[in-house]
Amino acid sequence: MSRCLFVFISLLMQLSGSDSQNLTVSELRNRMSKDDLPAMVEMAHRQLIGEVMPFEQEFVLKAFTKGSEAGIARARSGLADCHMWGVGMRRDTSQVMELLEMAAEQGDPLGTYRLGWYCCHGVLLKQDFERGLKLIRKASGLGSLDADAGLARLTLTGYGVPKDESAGLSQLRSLAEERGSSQAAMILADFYRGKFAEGAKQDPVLATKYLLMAGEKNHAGALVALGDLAMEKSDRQGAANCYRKAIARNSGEGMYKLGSMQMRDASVRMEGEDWYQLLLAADAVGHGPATLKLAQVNYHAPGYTFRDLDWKKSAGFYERWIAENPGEWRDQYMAVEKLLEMYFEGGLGLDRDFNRCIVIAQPQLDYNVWAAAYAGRVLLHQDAPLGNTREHFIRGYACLLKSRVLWKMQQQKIYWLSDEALFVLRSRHGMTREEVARAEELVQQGFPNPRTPLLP
Amino acid sequence: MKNPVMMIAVGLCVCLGQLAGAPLFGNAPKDEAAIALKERIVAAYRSQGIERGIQMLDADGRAFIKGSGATGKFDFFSAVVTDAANGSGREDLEWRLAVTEWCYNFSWAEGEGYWYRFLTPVMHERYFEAGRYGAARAVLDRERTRKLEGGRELDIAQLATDGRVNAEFPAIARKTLGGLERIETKDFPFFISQAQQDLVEGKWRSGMEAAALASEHAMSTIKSFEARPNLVDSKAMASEMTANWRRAKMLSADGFRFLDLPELEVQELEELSGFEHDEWKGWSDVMMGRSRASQLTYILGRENRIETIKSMEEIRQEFKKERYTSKEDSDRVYLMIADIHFRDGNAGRGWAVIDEIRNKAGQSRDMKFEVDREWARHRVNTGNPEWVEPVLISLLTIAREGGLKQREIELYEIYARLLVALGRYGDALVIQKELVRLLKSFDLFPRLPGALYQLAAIHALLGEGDRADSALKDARRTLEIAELPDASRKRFGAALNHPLPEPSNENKAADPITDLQPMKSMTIPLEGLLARGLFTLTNLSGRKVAGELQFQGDGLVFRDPQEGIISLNVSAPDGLKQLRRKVAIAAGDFLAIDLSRNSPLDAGVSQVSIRWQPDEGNPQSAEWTAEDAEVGISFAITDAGEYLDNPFYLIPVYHLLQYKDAFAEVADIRVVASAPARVELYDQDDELVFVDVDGDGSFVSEGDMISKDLNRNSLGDLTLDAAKQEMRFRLFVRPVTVDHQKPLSLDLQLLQQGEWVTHSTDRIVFPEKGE
Repeated sequence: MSRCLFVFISLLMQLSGSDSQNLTVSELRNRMSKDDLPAMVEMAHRQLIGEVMPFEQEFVLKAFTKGSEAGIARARSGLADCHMWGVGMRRDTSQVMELLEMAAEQGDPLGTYRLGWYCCHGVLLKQDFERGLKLIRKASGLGSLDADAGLARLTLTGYGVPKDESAGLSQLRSLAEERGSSQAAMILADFYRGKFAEGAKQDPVLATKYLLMAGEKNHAGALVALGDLAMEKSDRQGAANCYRKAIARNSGEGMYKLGSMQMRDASVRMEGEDWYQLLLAADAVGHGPATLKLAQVNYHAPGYTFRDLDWKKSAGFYERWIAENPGEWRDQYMAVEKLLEMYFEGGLGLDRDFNRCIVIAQPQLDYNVWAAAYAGRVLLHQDAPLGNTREHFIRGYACLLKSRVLWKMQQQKIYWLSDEALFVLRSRHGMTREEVARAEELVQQGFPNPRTPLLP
Repeated sequence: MKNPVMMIAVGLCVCLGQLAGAPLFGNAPKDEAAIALKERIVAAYRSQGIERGIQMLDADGRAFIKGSGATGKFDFFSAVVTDAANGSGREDLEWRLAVTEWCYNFSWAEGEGYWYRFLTPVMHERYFEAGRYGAARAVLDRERTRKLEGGRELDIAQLATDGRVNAEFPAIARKTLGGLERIETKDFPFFISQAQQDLVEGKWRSGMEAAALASEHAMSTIKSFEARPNLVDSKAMASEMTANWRRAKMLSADGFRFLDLPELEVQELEELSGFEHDEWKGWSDVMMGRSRASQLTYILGRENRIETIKSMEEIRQEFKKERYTSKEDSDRVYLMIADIHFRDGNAGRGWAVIDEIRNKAGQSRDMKFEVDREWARHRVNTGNPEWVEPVLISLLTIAREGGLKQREIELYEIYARLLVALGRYGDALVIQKELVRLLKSFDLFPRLPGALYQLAAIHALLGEGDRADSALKDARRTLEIAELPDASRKRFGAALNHPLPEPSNENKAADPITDLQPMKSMTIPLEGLLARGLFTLTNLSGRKVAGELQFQGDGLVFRDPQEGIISLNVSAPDGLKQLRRKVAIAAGDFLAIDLSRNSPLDAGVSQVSIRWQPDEGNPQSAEWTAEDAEVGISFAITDAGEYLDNPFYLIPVYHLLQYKDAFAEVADIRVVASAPARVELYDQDDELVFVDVDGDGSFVSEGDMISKDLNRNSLGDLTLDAAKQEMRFRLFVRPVTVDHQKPLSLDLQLLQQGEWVTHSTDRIVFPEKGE
């Protein structure tokens, strides 16, 4: 019954929008002037995929929102993309899956493909490769070129399907060169840049060819990659221009890269450009490195200009970045260290907060050197802010020892905390041989850890 | 906004209202309320004085900071600190110090981390200006410890060594960051502060290593940024680093001056003045460097007098025109010009310059010191020793009060030469010996051959041929083993080859004076360790003193004789009740009397009476008591004594620290006097631990200095050697005022788990007048 209903509704929606997909841009504009919603949705779609420029984000969001409320499948999938990529709004993934499920249910090829891809890769939901592949194949059947490119990519890389490099390449070439798929061109470029396997053979000439092909179709990723290529050749102005084009496609990576460049290099700034605003914009579209960069910038401005440093903002960016990027181990370490440092030292708008240090540190005590280190520093602080019993000092010292154990486990050759530092810190509170032995014993017993309260 | 791409990006930010108000990076304070409050505080200071200004900072300033956001706080601090540096504080150094101190202490205590870090080198500089070297050292220690806790080692001694800074003078190690990559560019000014601090404390080696590290880093950073002019911070960084480099180079030159190595000093100065850069910061270092280089090239015979004076005069005029450097810089150059006149045999012109500077009103204490020292030096050099001694004694007092070991050494040199010129060879010997002791204590080996030669010369004048030969041999041996530049070695060698003077009959020796100290001493050893006591018999006169030492007690036995020490065991089974020994003590020398209970197992009370019977003069006696060992204690200062004050010299007060476990590695120690007294403490290697100018036990007064602080808690400490269980250390105590009715007591305290515990109390009794 439900399937019959689905087919019926799909038919209805396709009927209502099917002719829009075949209209020229001027025809679309003509219809839009008469408040034709399917035409607005189609125009928004073409802007979203880069077929029509400029990319008017406010309009795109508005069109998809209205279309989605009216039940247009393409609008729902487009609105999901807006939420996912922060188009005309701050990135917010809470409704993405719901919108995509609806779009796929209604038979929208792009929505079906996106849902399939997310299923395959476990994006925003638990990975379900079987369902994902089924959805991508369905999207392909519905005429999605992106889905065709996605399937070819799976074949090329052997991800979840038997690997057939030759077939995959052949399909991608056909899609890119004969059917104008920017997605396929980008996949080929990545392949020739050796992105799919470590140590893979690279072919810079072909890589550039396909990047240019994708770039011509306003593929944001390709535009950023072209910028990176220019950077490799020390062509900073050329790189900046590529990033600008990517930014016009709402690329967070482009914003981040241009903003980072401009931060210290005034020669790549154009009138009216503001590197800090670019980083904020990249953060708003959910580009994690920009969030991290903003945290770093507010922690320590480049050069000798400090007036607007704001540790409160820095801490906010760091805390959000840590929450949103649990898998980024290397940067997590640095972020936690900086965050703990800021709460430990205080200043630049952030109040010193030793308790907050403990709260941040406690869950990470099993693996994070800095968490253990700062817990130790708090407990052994000269003013003993969280208590001055001998047990506080013993536990504090145990935390320092633990941080050294963790450091060694991570195969660092030189202790971050020298013997000298340990001596100074234990000497500060006159710790005895017996107290130090007790701290060593605590570490052997697994202290400190996320489960046992740090404070006595 | 013409760029469509930016219209999108920025438009997005605007539509996301929460991102509005993003910062516009820049330095100048803009917060009107912050600037207005600063103005009110400065106005209050101007009309009602420093105290009122600081009260306002503490009340209104604190409230403003607590109630402001990041920018408001920043602007307030920025306005106040800038005004203290270049505004109202430029006119009143006391106000400048008070404001900086308030901001620094507030930022440390209240967690304004940025400002604390910014103010650390500033605070150090301010304390330095004020002669509060102990407080300056504490600023550095605090920062070094903070960095150390965060895994950044800023102690120059702890850094890896990679070769030598100067192949001709290998004593200075090239320090590298090998492995300690967590040190950042912003940490390097710290090394400059450290170099400055170490040099004034006489620690030339670490000071010069720190200066070399800072200058090398600064130069590599300058080059790195000059190669990337497109970076927005290239100019600022290159400028900042140029100023750092200049300061570090000047400090290196200061180090070579302290070592009396003008050949190397001039190299540093020429490098400093030869580096062309349009940066203004550090300009006065460059100009002063040029002036000093001119002076030295003349002294080393590479420049003629006319050219030298011409170039120095030009520099002096440049300094006079400049508003933003110390107004005394031109006078400092003028003093150098005077020196050239004297060296050129034109004393009249030299005196004219010196008199002109001496007669100026409103000089800083530091400038007054320099000009008086130059006056005294040239008086002695030109054979006019009259009136010099009171000036030198006054300068010496200032140097001691300021903890300026570097200057103390210079003054001892002048003083000894003065006393020779006055024919007071015995007194000269005492001073020269103290100079040699200080040079050894600070390992100033390049200066040692010259000082030993001078010692030999004084012995020769006194007719003490053997001692003169011995000192000369010592001087030659010292020079032989010293690794020095060829030119310096040649210069020192030539000085040693001058024939020693013939004995002189002109010795104006005072009557023989000897001093046996302490009068009473009591020891309570730790269980299992020996009871030990130490007395000194000092010859304060200008000629040899002979006499007999008599000992009375149970089981007395002389131990192996050593030069300068009489050792005896007490309570030995085969010992005697009485022992005697004839002794002779050279002028200015002293004899140590080392008593030791025979066995750690000995119980009960042991007593020894010591009597000194000189061939001429009055006898003196002293008592030593050793009690039962103390049980259940793992470390303690085990002795206390009663001393009779002797105004003619600094009485050495010896103590013994015993410990059963060296786990703590150091013992934090202080001395609290019952009345103001200058206390100097030297460790078992005779290296200075601290100077406490008023004996209050804290180290923040002007002139206080901590020279050894291994555990970096801003308290002087004694290093516990794990291979031993005891160490001797000594104090020199000079009461600020004397109350004949009230002995001075000295509490020797050790820090134990955060509490100061008194382990021993000495008494210094003041003799009645005429006693």
